[in-house]
Order: sequence, then structure tokens, then C-alpha cells
Amino acid sequence: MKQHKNILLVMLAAVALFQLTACKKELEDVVPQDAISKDLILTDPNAAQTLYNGAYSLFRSSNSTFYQLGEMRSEIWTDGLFTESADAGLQNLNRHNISALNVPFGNWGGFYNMIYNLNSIIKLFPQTTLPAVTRNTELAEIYGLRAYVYYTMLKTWGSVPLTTEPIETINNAFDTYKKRTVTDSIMIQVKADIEKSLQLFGSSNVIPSGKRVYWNRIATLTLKGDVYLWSGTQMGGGNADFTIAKTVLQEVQSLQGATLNLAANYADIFDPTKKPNNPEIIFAINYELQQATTGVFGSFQVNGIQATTLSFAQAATPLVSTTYPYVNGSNRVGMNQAMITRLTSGPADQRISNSFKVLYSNTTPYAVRGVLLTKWLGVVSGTSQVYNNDYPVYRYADVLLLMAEAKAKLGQDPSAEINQIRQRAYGAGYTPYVNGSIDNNIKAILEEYLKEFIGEGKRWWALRRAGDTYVYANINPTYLSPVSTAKLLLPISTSMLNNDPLLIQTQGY
Amino acid sequence: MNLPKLKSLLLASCFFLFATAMAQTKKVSGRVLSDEDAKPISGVSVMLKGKTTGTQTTINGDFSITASKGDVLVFSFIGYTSQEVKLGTANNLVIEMKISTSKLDEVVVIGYGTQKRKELTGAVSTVNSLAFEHSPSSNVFTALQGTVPGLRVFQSTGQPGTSPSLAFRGGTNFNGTGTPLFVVDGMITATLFGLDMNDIASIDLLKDAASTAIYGARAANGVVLVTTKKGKLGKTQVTYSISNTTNYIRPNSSEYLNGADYIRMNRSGLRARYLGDSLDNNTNNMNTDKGQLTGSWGWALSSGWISPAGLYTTQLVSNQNRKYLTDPNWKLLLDRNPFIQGQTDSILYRDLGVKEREALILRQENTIAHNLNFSGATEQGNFALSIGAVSDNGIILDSKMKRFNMNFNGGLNVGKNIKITTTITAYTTTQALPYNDPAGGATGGLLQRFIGVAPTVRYNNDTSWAQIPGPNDITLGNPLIWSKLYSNSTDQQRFLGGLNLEYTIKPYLKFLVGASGYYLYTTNNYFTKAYQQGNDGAFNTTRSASFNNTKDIQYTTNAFLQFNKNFKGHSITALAGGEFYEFKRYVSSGVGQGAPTDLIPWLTAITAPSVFNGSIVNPSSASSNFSGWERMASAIGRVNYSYQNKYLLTAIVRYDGSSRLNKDNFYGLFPGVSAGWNLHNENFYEKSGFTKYVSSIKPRLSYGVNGNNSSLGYFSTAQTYNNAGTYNGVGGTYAASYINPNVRWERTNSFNLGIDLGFLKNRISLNFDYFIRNVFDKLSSLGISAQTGFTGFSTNLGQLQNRGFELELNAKVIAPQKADGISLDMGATFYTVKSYAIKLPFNGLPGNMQSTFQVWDPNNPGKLMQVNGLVEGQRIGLDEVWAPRYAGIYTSQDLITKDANVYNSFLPYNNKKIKQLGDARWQLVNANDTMDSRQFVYVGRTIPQFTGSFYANAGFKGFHLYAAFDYAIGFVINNNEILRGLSQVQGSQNGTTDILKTWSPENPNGTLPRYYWANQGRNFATDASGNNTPANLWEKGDYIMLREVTLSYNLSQSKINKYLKDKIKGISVYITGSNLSYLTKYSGNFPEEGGIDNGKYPLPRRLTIGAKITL
Repeated sequence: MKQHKNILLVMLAAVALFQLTACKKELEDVVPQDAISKDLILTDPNAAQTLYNGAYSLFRSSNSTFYQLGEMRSEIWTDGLFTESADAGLQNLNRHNISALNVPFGNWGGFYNMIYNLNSIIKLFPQTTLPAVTRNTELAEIYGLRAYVYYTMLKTWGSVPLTTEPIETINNAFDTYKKRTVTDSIMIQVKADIEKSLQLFGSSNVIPSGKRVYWNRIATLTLKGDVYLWSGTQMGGGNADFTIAKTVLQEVQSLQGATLNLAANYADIFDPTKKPNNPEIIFAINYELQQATTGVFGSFQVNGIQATTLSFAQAATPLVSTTYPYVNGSNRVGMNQAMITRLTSGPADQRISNSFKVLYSNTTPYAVRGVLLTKWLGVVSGTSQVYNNDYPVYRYADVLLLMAEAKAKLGQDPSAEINQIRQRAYGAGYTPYVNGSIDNNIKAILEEYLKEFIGEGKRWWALRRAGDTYVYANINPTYLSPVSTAKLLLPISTSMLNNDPLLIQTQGY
Repeated sequence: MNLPKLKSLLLASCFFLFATAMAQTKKVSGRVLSDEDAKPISGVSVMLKGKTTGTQTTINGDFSITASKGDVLVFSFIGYTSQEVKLGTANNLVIEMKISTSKLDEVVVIGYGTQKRKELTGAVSTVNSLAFEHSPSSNVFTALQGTVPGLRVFQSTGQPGTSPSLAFRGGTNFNGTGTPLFVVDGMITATLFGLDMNDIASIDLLKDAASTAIYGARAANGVVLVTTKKGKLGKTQVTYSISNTTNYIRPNSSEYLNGADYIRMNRSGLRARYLGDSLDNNTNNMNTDKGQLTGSWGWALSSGWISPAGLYTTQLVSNQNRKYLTDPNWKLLLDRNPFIQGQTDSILYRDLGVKEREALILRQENTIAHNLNFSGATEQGNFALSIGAVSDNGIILDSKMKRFNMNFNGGLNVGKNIKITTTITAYTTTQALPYNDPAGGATGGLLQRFIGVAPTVRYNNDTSWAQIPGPNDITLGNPLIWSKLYSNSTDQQRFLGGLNLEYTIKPYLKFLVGASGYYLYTTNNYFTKAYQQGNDGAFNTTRSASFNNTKDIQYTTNAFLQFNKNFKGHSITALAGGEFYEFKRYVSSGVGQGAPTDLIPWLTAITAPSVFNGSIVNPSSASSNFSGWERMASAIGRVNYSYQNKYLLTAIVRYDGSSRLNKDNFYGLFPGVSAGWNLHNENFYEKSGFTKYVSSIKPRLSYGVNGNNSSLGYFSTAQTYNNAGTYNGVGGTYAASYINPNVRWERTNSFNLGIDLGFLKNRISLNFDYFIRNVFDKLSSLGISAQTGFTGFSTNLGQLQNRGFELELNAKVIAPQKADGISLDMGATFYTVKSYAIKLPFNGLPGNMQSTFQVWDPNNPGKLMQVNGLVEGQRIGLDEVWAPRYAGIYTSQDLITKDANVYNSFLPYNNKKIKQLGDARWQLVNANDTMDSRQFVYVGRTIPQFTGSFYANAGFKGFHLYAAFDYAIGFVINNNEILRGLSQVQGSQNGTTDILKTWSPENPNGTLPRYYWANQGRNFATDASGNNTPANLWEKGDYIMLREVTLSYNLSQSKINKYLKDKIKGISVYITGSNLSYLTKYSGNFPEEGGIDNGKYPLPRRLTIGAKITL
């Protein structure tokens, strides 16, 4: 009996030991094997680089939001013709069917996750082991991206919560509440980020060779011009701001040459085979086969079956399916007849023919059925369509038209820049623009904006930056009129208000 | 069966017991032994049949009685089958009585051991073995459907081998889901998939937390314990069973429009849309509508349809096609032009009916199953080896599952004190599914899509009659083409094994040690041949190929000391020990494309890397990952105590450490205690006259705590960065969500009050359980301000409560008087549960409500209320359906004028007050307000309120007839085959004949609202995608399913001996019908899952013929 007791005790002790000592260590050993941790970011420069690349991926994933905010509220796509059922979300935007109960871009369009990650890089990178030169250039780019995002948010909602530090710990919901910061302060932050970016870039205006898919000093300069024009017009900055804009844009213009210029052939700007060192591109969002291809414009295309019954001319041919056998989106957004006529009549404009094509029924009377946005159709690889066009955020045509705008607002002659744009569009026989009244100059600039940037997310911002009278002059008054001023900014949703009691609704909603 | 019938059967059976006769007398003596161990039984009642004289056996099992030749002696004793013996000349008898396994004597598996049901204090259900004895299902899960109260099981696809959905006692999630832990022969497995029904000896379900506490942190949703067959003492035997099942098509339940009505109604619907847009003065839209008449729709006159291989056949009569007017394959429709007054269009089309279409995709198939079992046992050891093969073919074209499986159970006694047992099971399965059911709301389900393809579709070339693909989508296209394009198969191999050693140190003390584990390999291979993208479409020669291999490795080791002693009426069994568990998952996958031929469906045939736009493009890529890793270390203890078989007590404690959590939160303590009282063993009760009626009463009470870590990921507290994709050739990462390092596992405590009752000598047994389960520290997503970069984060803040009760009734309505006498067993189960949100994360809103939806309160005019979500203290409303209801339709202009100012925010027009004749007249809960989502009314819940089953099993002379039903009551379902047709949100799809019941100028007596092409009038959904269908068209899903009827016959031993000598020990044959019929008012054919029924892959009706031979 005694012997058995001993055996029993030994075994019990063994079990207990096994439990208490070995196991905690065994449990601690289990750490993720397939993901990068914060410790790695700080100790390994290659791991830190992944955050930098991730920032661009995030910027790319907001492409659709950037595009829709910048263009879908303009008159280009209002009440258009299309062959399938309407894309309800896009239709709400182009009809300005927006209210406190019908809120597009909830949760601030998802921008704050990008901002968290940009803030995180700004905070972590100085602690990493990255070489100083690389670190400064990359931080300069990140500041540029952050300025661009806050600028876009300012234009969209006016005042927004200002967050420049990544949140470290969350203990309860209360800790996360934050008021909307007044628009002026957001603008100060945007301008501060621009200056920080310029400072970190140093004096180098070189765009690195290869694909122009990273933010750079010229992009910051262009953004600065854009921002000061906005603050000059919309925030009372007046001539002081216009002058700053003009000065900074002049700096960019002075770089015009082999590496920075209008591409003679408009189609080359978007040609996926001509991405490296493309002189017109300042900064574009990158899309590549097997990495990411753009899905932003699916509703502006046409499906394979319908393509067999649609023609590009008022005749039985050429069939859409013959020209684009592998395009397979849907046709749920279009232009109305008036817009089609406005853009396609008059002298041949290479911008129009390389932006979209009108779709006709292939049987009599060959009725207009819609348009196909051809700018972003990528290339054919084997038997599939690869949507791999880069999406320009800023290109040299922006610089020229922003410059023209700055000059016009300062009461100066913008015809040189307008004519540079027209010459490329219409060829040598273009009708030169002659300086006129400020109003006429602005109208002429807006006309070029309309034709130059179809599908590039610029038109609505251009109207807004020109001044709200130009918005009302161009948008169907049934949908937007001076009576509904508040609608220029977007409302925030009930769930946003619920999740943050410190937020208040955008004025007017 | 109703109550009076039951009573009369009981009376009839009593009558036989007491029928009498008279004869000459003599002294007869003998001894009664148990047939199991040949030990004498004392206290057996020995009666002369039909007379009042009788006696009882002594402690040695002896008896003596005065009787006459020809008398019949009736031997009866609780727990044994009564026996009748006709007296011959012999005066000394030896009677062997057979044990009748009454519910109370059965052994129940309770995790790390077994217990007799009569000693049980927790809530444990045992699955009626009849449910899996003859079932042709290749998935053991289906045996759980309705058979164990507390577990809701429903099937949502007829795909062979697919596991049904399970939810235990209201689940631990707010949406009512929660899957139990599965333990097969003591080994924790992720699923019961792959097990052979033939190998199952028993299935038990641990329900209350006091019982499940033995599995601690993983057991919050109950534990399903499966035991496979072991060898039994006696001569080695070989059993072969075979079954052949015919799987019959369960045809589509709805009538669809024929080609003529389809074209006519869509054109009329387009006109309705055009009229709406004209009331809205929207010229652009009116022009778009006009264009649709020649658009790319199945009913439209598109120029593309004239081609002999165009997508649809609809076309105007012209000189080119005039020849078809006399062709029987073509039909002519004269229909007025919707836009040009007075013009009639002559439309030619081909009409492919629903029956022909069903025949293309559904077919009657067979399932064949073989099982060969060798088993035996001696004093030294026991073994059971079984080998099985199943080929299960589904009713949807080419869907199948094949399985080979083996199961080995062995036990060896080494010397006197050591016993070794081992279990080894393995299976390999192949599942093929050329047709994936999209089952989604927006896309619709497979059958809704396929059966609803336009009847004018062209699957054959007009002139060559060759098969052509039809629409460019597998769920819409010609099955003769599309079913051959994809190869999509999933193979799985699992090797599961365990070794247990039991060392008896002293008679009362044992040392138990065990090790078990499994390897599970899952391989998915996918290949697409070159194909034409629909009729007249481009050829796609991408030939993409991919694979995904997952390797799971899991092992568990444990060691226990078990103490067992009885003294002075006290009985104690105690168990203490520890366990270590590890799980790892590795995933490798690859994709490739560009093979030059369809003949090599593997990645080897892909094209070489090439340069594309200046960068190297590989048409193939591979990835590998160590994606899952988990360890658990546990200490386990259990004490079972009973005093004089009256007072029962069980206490369990488990201390678990899990690697899923942060270091500081590794460990959790999970105790459970339960008590029971065998009231019927008390002297005062035995003396009371009550025993005659209520033979056993056992109240039970239990309380316990469980954990739940299944809602946590493997590395839920680790700060890591997610993959952000590749940018310009370089990979990126980002923080996608805020990782809360402090999350803990959810804790569930549950209180269980139960009673087990036995009536009339335990002929009828009733088990009742009432439970309250609280899920504390519920992992919930707490909404936070979006400015943080995140919209929410996971935290332990909620509390959920489930309250419900379960009932299980079993009755031996007719007990067999002798071995092959008449018997009738019946049983029923009933289960109901309700879930409440007790505590929710603070968010500053009344009741901290979450995911709610605002509607007008019908009882408080002008007040809004929050429904359809979570509000503290209220019943969970996530499964509620709220929808708009129409009070009628506008049948006259007067009605429209009256409502001229009613604003319908759902209308796509600029003027949202537009109404046309025939439009739905929406019920406004808050009158004088706009029609919007606040006007929605309550329709019902999608989760059934009551579920259960009932069965009857009758036997006579070797024949058995078994019938089993299961039911679900109190839920709503939406037949989307009908609704998607009525709303026509897919443009070309055909709909059911309900469309003919819609109001139109031609059908002014129509009862349903006006039919619009693409739901422009928003009469059948609030948007153009088919969401929020009217309350009027939701249906009750209540059903009773005749799950199984089996007639089996066991050849009697005497006949076998007579004809087959000793060569064969037993033969049984059976015929089984499964999934026979739903008794339901629901219009669809598959009501098991509430909510939106998108036309699922239906369950086949099955007829099985099987045989079992024992050598």
C-alpha cells in the first residue's frame, strides 16, 4: 500500500509539473508566422518598406472614392443614356439626391484608415533603421499624400475631425470621440503638410526614372497651387493666395522640357505601354496585371452580349464586340444627348475621340444607346481585357490649367496656357483663345477642363474652385440650385453621429 | 398518434398479461438466469398466464410453483424482456431472460468516461440509434436533425456529403449561431464529415454547462460525443452490409410562364415603365425605355437574336425567317407594340419549357454503400475493423461524393492490470461540384437562376442544331456545354488515431494515459477549359488552373488518475489529470493559366513567363502559409458521488490555457456542479401507491461555466500588419483594424433544471430540461468614431441570454411479450429557445441599441421604435423580418386621386408621388407621412420558434416498421423564385405564372400589383435589386418532414438454423424511404431554412434497398 502511495505521488507530481512549468512557455511560443509585426517594422528596414508600399496600395484602393467625389456630381453624367439598369449610387450623385437620410460616402469615405496608416508611418519611420536619405524622401511623399487626402476631405465635407497621430490604445468608445475641426484649421494643416513635404524633398525636382507612380516634389508643388487657388476663392484668401499659387505653378512650368511636357498624342498619356518616363505624368496611381487592375469604371463599360448588338456608328458596323471583344463590364452610367452633342460636335478634338465612344443600336434607326468610356480599357492579354491604365492624379495639363486659373483670377491673361492645351487637342489649326473678361476667361478654362479630364475625377472640383456661381451655371437647377447651397458639402450619416456624439451634422442638412 | 389511441393500445397489451385458463396441477421448479452473464436473478415475478397465482424467485434465482401441463408461465422483471414458457413434461426449468435496454439503463458517454443514465445528473441527450441505422445519408450530421432536443439542425442544400447547419441552445452569437464541439472516441475533431453511419455505435450530446465543463474553454456550444462500434465477447463475426439508394428529383414547385406570356408580359411591363417615366416627364429615360424593346433581353427584338447562334430566339417575322412559320420548333406571337399605337408585332421565338430545362440539370441518380465489418472479443482483448465505400451521386448534374473509409477499434489486456485500447480511423473522399450554388441575395440561387432563364434562350444552333453555350454564365448557360467546362474537385484524406492505456494500480485506482491526433489533407483542384463566352461570344483560352492544399495537424495528450470506491452506500468516482493540445494549419496554393490544351488540367501545362509592358509577368504564382497555430494546456478534475443511489452529485473543474489570448489572459477556470435525486429509490416513495404510475422520478439541477474561444482568431491579440497588395511590383502592408490585445474569451454560464420521469414501470420515460444560458464577456464589435481610422474594435462587453426548454418522450407502447412478439415504440422531442440581449457595449443610445432599424410604432401613433436589432433587455431581433405591406392596389383613378399627395421615397422617379393604375397601395403605419422604410411592418422571424421530431417503431416476428418525422414551426420564408420573377430585376429572367395575376389594363381583375420591367414601379421590392419584398408575399415556413420510413426484416435464428445451419448468423433486409415529404403550406420545395429562399439545390427523395449479412 505504501509503495503504491509513492507511485501515486510521483505521478501526480509529474502531471502537476507538466502543467505548471512547461505549458506557459509552450503557449507563449505560439506567435503569428505569416505577418509582419510592429517590432519587425522597427528593427528591419525591409519590413518598414512594406508600410511605405502599403500606403500607396491604400491610396490606390481609394481611387474610386477620389474619382466619384471629383466628377460624379458634375454635369457630365447627369441623366445619361445607358443600356442596363441605373447604378443607383452613381445616379444619386449626379442627381444630387443627397440628404441626411441618403448619405453617400459614410464613415468619411473610409479615408481615416489611410490617414491612420500615413500617421503611423510619420510616427514610426524616424525610429526605424532606414537610411536617412530614403527615410526623408519617403516621409516627404507621405506628407504629400496626407495633404492631398485632407484637402480632398476639406473639399467634400468642409470641417472634418483632424487626426495627425495614430491612436495607440482604445479602452472605450468615449476615448475615440472627436469634434469636427473648423475648415480653416484643416486648411492650415494641409498647407503645413505641403511645406513639410517640400522641406523634406529638399530642392530636388527630379522625378525618379521609371513609372511615375510615386508622389514627388513636383506633385507637392502642383498640389500647393491647387490648394491656394481653393483657399483664395472659397476661403477668402483672395489675391494673396492666387499669387502664391501662381508662383509655385510657375516653378513647375519652368521645368517644362523633355521630361515634363504635354504629350503630343493625347492617347499616349493613358497608354499602358508608355508608362515609363511618360512626360505628361506627374503622379499616377499604378495598376498592373497580376497586381491590381482598376475596377473603378465597370459601370461605364458594356457587357459582352450587348456589345454584339451595339455599333460605334449609325450603321450596322463597326460592332462594339468586334473592336472590344473582351471588354465585359456593364453599361449603367452614360451621358445625355445634350452632353454627347456638346462634346462631339465641332472641330475634331483628339481628347474626345480618345476618351469615350458613342454607342448606337446596330439596327435602324440606329438610336443612340449610351457611351462607352474607352479611356480606361487597358490592353488585351490573350483572351482577356486587362484594365491596367495608370490613373493620373496630377499631369502637366493640370499645371497649365491651374496656372491659367491663377492668372485669370489675378486679372491676367491666361490665353497662353489655354492655347497650349487647345493646340494639343485640335492640332495646328486650332482656334486660338483671346484674352477676355475674367468671367469669360474662367468659362474658357472650365470648357477645357470639361474636355481634357473626362473620367479623371476633376470636373466637379474645377467648378467648385472656379466659384459656386459656375457650379450653379452648369448643374441642372432641378438638382442643385442656390436654394440648396448646403448640398455643396456632403452630410454625415446617422451611424456616424451615433458612433461619435461629438460630431454634428453638416450645416444645412 | 393521439392520446385515446395510445390508451387503448396500453389496455390491449395489459389484457394479454392477465388472460386465464384452467388445467390439472403439478409442482414445477426452476431457476432464472440473466442471458448476458448467466447469473441468477432474484425477485423475478413468475405468474401463470391468465390466473392470479404466482411467485417470485429467491436470491439464488430459484422458484417453484404449482401448475398444470399446458399452462403458460410468464416471467417478468424490470429491465428484462418478459418471457412466456409453455409447460411440457419437464419439471425443472432453466429460464434465461433477455435484458431489455430501457432508457434508464443505457450507458451515456460523458467525456473522459461513461455513466449510466440513472446516475446522470447533467443534461445529456442520446441520439436514437434508429435515426442512423438505415439512413442513406453519407453525412452523420443528418442523424442529428430533430433527434436531440436543444440542437437545431437544418439542411440548406442537397449537395452530396454536405454538412447541415447546427445551432445549439440558441447559440452563443447574437445571430443565434454556435456549433458544438465534436469528439469521436475521445478525440476532438472539427467535424463529423467523413464518418460512416455503419460504424456509429452511439451519439450523445452534452448540453448543460455542468456536463460540458469537462471540455472547458471550447464547450460553450455543447459537445457531441460519437462512439464507434467495438468488438463484443463471443465468436468472431463478419458483417457485410450493402445498400442501394435511388435519389429521385424533387421537381421545381412553381409553374413558369410559357414563351408567349413571357414575351407579352415583359413588353407590357416595359410599357408600364415607359408610362411611369412619361408621368415623370423624363425624356432621357423614356428614350432609354424605348431602346430596351430592341435591347439585349430574352423577350426583346435585339438585332443579335436573328443570327442562328444568337443568345435568344426572339425576332420579328421577316423574309429571312419566314420559313420558320411552318417549323414546329418555332412559335409565332402577335402582340401589340408597346409604343406605337395600333401596331401589332409578329414575333417568332422558340420556347424551352421548364420541364425540358429541369431535365437538363436535374437527374435521377444512385447512391451505393458497402460496409464490411470484422469483430470479436476474448478475455484477452477485442477488436472491430470495418471498411466502407460510398458512392453518393447528387440529383444536380455531375455532383457527387465518393468515400472510402476504415475504422479500427482494438483492445488488449496485458496481464491483469494493464489494458490498452486503440482507435484508428481513416477516410478519403472526393467531392465534385461543377455547379456551385451562388445562393446569394443579389445573384439568386442556382435553381432560381437556371430554371428562370428566358424560355426563348438558344441552346441549339437554328440550322446545324449543334449545342451552343447560351448565356455567358454557368448558372444560366446550356448545361450540356457548361457542365463540361469546369473541373472542380475537393479531395480530403484524414488519418485519425488514438492510443489509450489503463493501468489498474489498485482495484479502486487507475492511471489513464492517452494520446491521439489526426492529419487532415484537403486538396482543391480547379481547371477551366477553353470556352466560348456565351452565344456569339469571344473565345476564352485562358485555361486557368489552380490548387489549394491545406494540411491540418492536431494532437492531444492526456493523463489521469481515476479513483473509484463504494463503501456503506457511498459511491465515489474521481478523475484528475491534465491535457495538452496542439493544432497547426499549413496552406499552399497556386494558380496558373495559358495551357495550350484542355487535356492537361494541371499547372504543369501553363505558359512560360513573359515580358508584358516592360515587366516580367508570370502566368502562374504560388503561395504558402502557416496560417493557423494553437496550443492549449489544461488541468481537469471530476468527482461523481452518489449515496445509496438516491443522492447524486457531480462536480467538474477544468483549467484551460489558450495560446489564442494575450499572455496575461492565457488561463481560465471552468467549473461545473450538478446534483440529482433518485426520488423513486426513497423508502417513502417506494411505499406510496404512486410507484404504480410514476415508477421513477429524478429531479436534476446543474450550474456550470464554459468558455468560448472559437470567435477569436488564432492570433487575435497579436499586433500585426495586413497585406495591402502589390504596388508597382512591391508588396505592401497596412493596419486594417485595431487589434485589442486585451480581449478574453467569452464565458458562458448556464443553469439547468431538469427532471427525468418514468411511468408504468418505466415503459414511458420523459426527460424535461429548462435552461438559462448567459454568455458573458461576449466578444462584440464596439462602434467607435471613424476618425480613429477604424469603425469598430473587438472587446468583451456584451451579454447574451438564451432561455428555453427541451422535452424528450419515449414510450414502449407495446412491450414484446417474447423475443419476436409485437412491439411498438414511440418517441417525440420538442425544443424551443428565446434569446435576449442583456448587456451591450455602451454607445450612448437608449438601451445601447445596435444594428436596429427605425419603424413607426403601430401602437403609438407618430412615435418611432427601434426593431430588427439588439436592444438591452429585449429579445434579439436580428432574425426578424420587417417589410412594406400593401393594403391593396389602385384599381381606380379615384383611389389614386385620393392618395395624390402620398410620397413614395422608393420610387426611382424625380416626382415620387407618381402612381399608376395597378400600383401597390402601400399601408402607411403612420398615416399622412411619406412611404419609406419607417412604414415597414413586422412579418415574422426567420429562425423557427419550435423544432423537434417524433417517431414510431413497430416490430413483429422479425419485421420492423420505423417512421420518423421532424418539424420546425414559427418562422417565415420568402419564395424568391416567385418574387424575383414578379420584380423582374434581372431583366431577362422568366418568372412564375403569378405574373399573370398582376393588374394590367388588359387584366383589370388582377390581384397582385402591376408588373413593371426591372421593378420600376417598386411594387415587388423597394429597389432595383430585389430587396425588401412586400410582407404580403412572405409565407409561413412551418413544416413537418417525413424524414424516414423503413421496413426491415431480420431472418429469425430458427429459420437460419434450419436452412443455413451455422454458416450464417443473421440476415436482415430493409427498404427505406428518406426525405419523403414536407407537410407544409410553403410554395417552394425546400422550407428548412427561413429567410429568403433563392431556389436552393433541393434534397432528393431517396429510396434505399439494403441488406446485412452476419457470418
